[in-house]
Amino acid sequence: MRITSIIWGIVMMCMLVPELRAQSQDNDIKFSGDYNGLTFEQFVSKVESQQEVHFYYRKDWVQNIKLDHASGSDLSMKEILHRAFLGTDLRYYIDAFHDIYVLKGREMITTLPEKLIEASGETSKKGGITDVEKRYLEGRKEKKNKTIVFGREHIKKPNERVYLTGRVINAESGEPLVGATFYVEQLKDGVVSDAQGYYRLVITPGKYTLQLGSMGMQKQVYNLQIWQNAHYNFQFQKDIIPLKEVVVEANKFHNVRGTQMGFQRLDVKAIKEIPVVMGESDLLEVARMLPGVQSVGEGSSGLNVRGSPADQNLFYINRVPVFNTSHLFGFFSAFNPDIVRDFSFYKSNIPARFGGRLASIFDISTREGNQKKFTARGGISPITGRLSVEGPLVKDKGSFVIGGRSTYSDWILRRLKDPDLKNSNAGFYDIATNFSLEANRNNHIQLFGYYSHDRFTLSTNSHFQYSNKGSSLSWRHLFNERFTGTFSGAFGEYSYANTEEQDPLNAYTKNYSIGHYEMKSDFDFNVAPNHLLRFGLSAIYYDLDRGALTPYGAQSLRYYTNLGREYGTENALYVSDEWKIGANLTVDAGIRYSYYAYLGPNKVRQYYPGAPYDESTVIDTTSYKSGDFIQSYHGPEWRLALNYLLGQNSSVKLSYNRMRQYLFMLSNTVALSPNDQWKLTDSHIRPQVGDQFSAGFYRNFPQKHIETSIEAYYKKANDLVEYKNGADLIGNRWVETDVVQGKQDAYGLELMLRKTAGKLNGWISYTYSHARVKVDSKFPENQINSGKAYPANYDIPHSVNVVTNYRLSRRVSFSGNMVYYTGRPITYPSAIYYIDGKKVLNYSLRNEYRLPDYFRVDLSVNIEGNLVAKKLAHSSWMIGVYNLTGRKNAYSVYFKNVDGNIQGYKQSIFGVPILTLTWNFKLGNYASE
Amino acid sequence: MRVNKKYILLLAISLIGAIAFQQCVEPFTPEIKKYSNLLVIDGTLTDELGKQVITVSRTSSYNDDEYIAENGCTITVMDDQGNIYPYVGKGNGKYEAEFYRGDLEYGRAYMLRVISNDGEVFESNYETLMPAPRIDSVTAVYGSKVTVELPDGLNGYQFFVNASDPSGNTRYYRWSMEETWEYRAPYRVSYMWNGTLHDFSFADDRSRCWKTAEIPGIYTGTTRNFSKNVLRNIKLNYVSTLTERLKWRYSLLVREYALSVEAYEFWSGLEEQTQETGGLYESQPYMVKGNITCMSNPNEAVLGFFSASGVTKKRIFVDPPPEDVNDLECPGDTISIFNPLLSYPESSYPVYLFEEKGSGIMVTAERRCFDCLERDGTNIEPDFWKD
Repeated sequence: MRITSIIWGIVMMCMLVPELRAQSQDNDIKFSGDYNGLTFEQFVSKVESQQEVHFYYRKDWVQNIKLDHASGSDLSMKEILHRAFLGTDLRYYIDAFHDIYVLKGREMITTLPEKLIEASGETSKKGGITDVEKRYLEGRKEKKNKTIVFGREHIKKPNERVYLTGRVINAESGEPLVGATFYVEQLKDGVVSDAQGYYRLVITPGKYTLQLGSMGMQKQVYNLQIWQNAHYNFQFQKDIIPLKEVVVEANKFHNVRGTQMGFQRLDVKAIKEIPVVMGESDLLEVARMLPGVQSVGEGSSGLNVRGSPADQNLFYINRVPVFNTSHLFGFFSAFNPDIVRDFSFYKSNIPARFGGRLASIFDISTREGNQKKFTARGGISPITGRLSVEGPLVKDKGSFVIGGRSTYSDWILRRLKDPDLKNSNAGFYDIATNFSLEANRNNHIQLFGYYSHDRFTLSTNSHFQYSNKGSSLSWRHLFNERFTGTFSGAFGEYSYANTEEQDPLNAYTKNYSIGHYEMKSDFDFNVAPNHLLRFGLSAIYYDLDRGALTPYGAQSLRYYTNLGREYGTENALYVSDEWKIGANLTVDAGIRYSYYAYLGPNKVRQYYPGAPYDESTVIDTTSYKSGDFIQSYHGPEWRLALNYLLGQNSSVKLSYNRMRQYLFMLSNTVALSPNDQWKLTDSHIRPQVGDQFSAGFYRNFPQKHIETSIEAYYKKANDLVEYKNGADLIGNRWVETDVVQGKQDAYGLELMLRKTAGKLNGWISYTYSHARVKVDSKFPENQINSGKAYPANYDIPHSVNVVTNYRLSRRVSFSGNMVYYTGRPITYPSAIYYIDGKKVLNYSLRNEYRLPDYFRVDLSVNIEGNLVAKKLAHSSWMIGVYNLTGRKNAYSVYFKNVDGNIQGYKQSIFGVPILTLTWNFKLGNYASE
Repeated sequence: MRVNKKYILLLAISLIGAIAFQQCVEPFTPEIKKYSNLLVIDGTLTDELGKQVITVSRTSSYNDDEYIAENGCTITVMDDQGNIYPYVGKGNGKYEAEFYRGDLEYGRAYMLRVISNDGEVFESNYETLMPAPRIDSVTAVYGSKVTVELPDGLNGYQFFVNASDPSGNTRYYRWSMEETWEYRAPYRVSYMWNGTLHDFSFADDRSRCWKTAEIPGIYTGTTRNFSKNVLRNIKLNYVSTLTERLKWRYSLLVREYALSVEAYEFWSGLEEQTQETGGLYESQPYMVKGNITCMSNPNEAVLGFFSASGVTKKRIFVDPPPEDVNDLECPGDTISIFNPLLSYPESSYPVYLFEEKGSGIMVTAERRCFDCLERDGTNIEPDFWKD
């Protein structure tokens, strides 16, 4: 038959399609021998021992059959069987793989498998059927499993593994599916598709049952027969019965089986279901609901991951680094939810291909756009409007998506009571676009662009503008089925401008920018079936303009101060091996070697050795020319992860990580503020180096769709950068005189219980953690808190998050959050005293007290439009209530001298329930992508 | 149907506009159990001849604050010429010394030594006495002020100072202020009841008084980032119409001090910590350390600053604002058979009364409505007062 002769071909054969079966009668088998007088069973036994054939039949059907005219050198199986079955109601069927099925009864075979074998489970004598195949044949009539065959069985070489590679895509839109799971029942193992939807399965040739799952998609089961290397793209249909399997199937076995710890991947569906304050789904808001992730207050930008400062997180969106991830003081994230497909979040063992920040990596992927047809979606929430359009570039090969978002106006701010906000105006917009082209099976190219802009004016006549921009180009190439490479170039830039004109004499403008230019190559190579080698290199060039303070307006007396421009390069080489040692143990060991250099041109002060950096200890100032290496730092970063499986559904994981960070944020505020500046490590300020140890236990209850995990961690870092008390924040060119470096240490325990599917799904997480900072020095002016360790601003001992989603029907679902955490640390005065007859406060130990505990409940209802299949557009409404209980959570507590008395105040941002209504639409029907 | 949806959307948006973002600020008294008991030494040596004061006190706890005087210390000031100026304890933590011509010279450096009751020796750094530049002007602007704590806003006078130092002696300034305001007692006393009724009038004028108080805030400024040594419209205190201060006439005396860098860091540090709102975008408070150290025990922390600075002064008067000013409320009680004088207890004696014009009806009120001295002021017109 023709199909079997296609060597590199991909065969998809549905056994239940009659046409195929009819053709299959052409599959004759020629053989030789003397079989006369044998019973059918003896014949089968003899033929199977001599030929690559398998018979499937029931003994009682063939009891009385004896063979004749079955001798010679050119026997035809068809003829012999035809003769043997004469006078009975038995029929036969020979398939492409020389499997011979003996059938009884009807002329046309419609339910082939169940006719073959009875529940008693008699099989061919040689047991050519596996348990799974048997189970499949016995019971699951309604599951019409497809069979896919790669190569021919007889070409198999024993003990050699083969590779099945390809891409997983959404059948409707042609977009890749990330995190789709491939689970091989017989091996109780599998793989997951990567960020571009690529997968690679290493397997011993044979017959398997392959289960495919992807979030929100129909589950698929294939009978896989693989005898040689093959490439195949799987397509998923959207799950039309969302009642059964709604969310997050992706990590079903990944949670237990992968070596990755402290890892989360959430897709936009999960993101969109969580109620948020401004009615717009927000990726960072969702991240805050995960264990180990904190923020210092509502509406503040910056995340604190496992007791680390906010500048230790690296955000990539399609490989573009984003330095400021928030809009509007942190009430919105800088990522449009309509563009985002998913994000991966690493906080424990960070893969060797990532580096540069100590605490976490957020790897955000945008959607690639619909490859089949043009479509659009958008929405209106109380503050923003969104619209995105997508469609094919080349049908089934390339697509684009472009999306934008903007605030309508400042009207909402004018209704605020806060005088500072009332007379303010604020607005933002962002735009992102992605082009993706799958040139052929081996080459995939992606081009991405991103721009976000914020502006606001406070009543104090402070004007701010800031923007992120970036672009990336990446090319993924499959060298062969075992070897893949990705080559990319990206740049990201953050800049801000700030004009202060409250005091005309002191009016000034200040600009700032940081540029990050990165070239990267990543390879993964299955050197052996149980060794997945990942290696690569990256080079980053930093161009940082600390900006200049320029007098603003004719009256200004402000000095012009240029804070200087600085350059640096950060290069890294890495290699890691994911090694499966036996059935239960997997080790992922890697090393990343990073090299950083602070480059000229620049001026660097020399200080008197051993003295604190200070105006009075300056000896000299050295000038460096362009291209000079002023200072370099380098070192290995070890990455080790280990997973030991305890049975099918549980595992123990351990990991150790070392990270190095060559830039830091100059900030002395509790939350990140838009005029905080990134600064490169230089001759006087050393890079931060951190170590983290984690251990975890994972257990899944697959029948109940429940995943549980316990993770514990300990981390410490050196050379954390802190401002000195009373430092000059904006105008100092010589940063080293204003900062001190200290130590950070944190430990914690994270519990997570997650229900991934069903009408009710969501998660409950509990985190216990501590984070401390210690800045000590032999010079008292370089100490903070008298050199004693103190709780970090983001030291939150207890934190509980509950995220639930209840799907009442296909059109109505409810979501709810519950957030509880211990109040953040705060410094209260230790005494009151009198100076010049005026009451003042004395502060002694930093962060000795805590704000009152935080508690909040949010609810939302999502109502989908009608389910009519043929319509132009589908819309949905989301009604949300943020802070349902109206609790006045403390945002800060502060003290003021009011008419000679010290008065304490508690400030809260949302002291009332906040109702929001959001309308979303998309072209197409309910189910369209 | 479509129209309805739009209507709902509009309604929801308006609702959010009305309620979202309502920042709530409410008074809050945290429970602060610990307290650090430290010595506080505070004093400025100015260029004014005559008595000068050093104050020694102790810190008190936040929840139970009081001024705790430290008497019995031995205090001397020394200059870089070897002169020693002893201070004499005057009680209430105050120590005084008399300075004469020749004692206080610009350019001369002075230091303070305090020996405390438990024998610890505290010394300040040497501080050089610098002349304070003239205050260019003090201005007052009537307007409203809205704060986070009082979102409904206040009306009143905002005072500003303009300063400059063409000589370039200093780039660091501090201002302290003293306010004096006139107030009045609305009623003239005609009778006095102390069990019997007397014809009565005060020997002196008790209808018009003046009260003087220190402004509690700390105000500093610097021109260190400026190309010219000029400061304009630096905000001083704000006086609202909610107090009686502006009712009749108000005067503000502004004193300007020239500071050293260290003194500026100290004072501006304190200013920041008592004025900022402590939000997420402000820095962590810290112990503001002065220039005084404990020589006998370096681990003993001490608060306060000894500075040497010239002082210049400027006074400004403001008239009552165009809008109403809160004043003392003086509701009168008419004496009648339902409210006989005999019903007033002895503790309320003397009861002052006035007769409603020609009616013969007697009316009483709180004593302070007749006698302005009852409100802690003085009825002696200050020398500087100008009507």
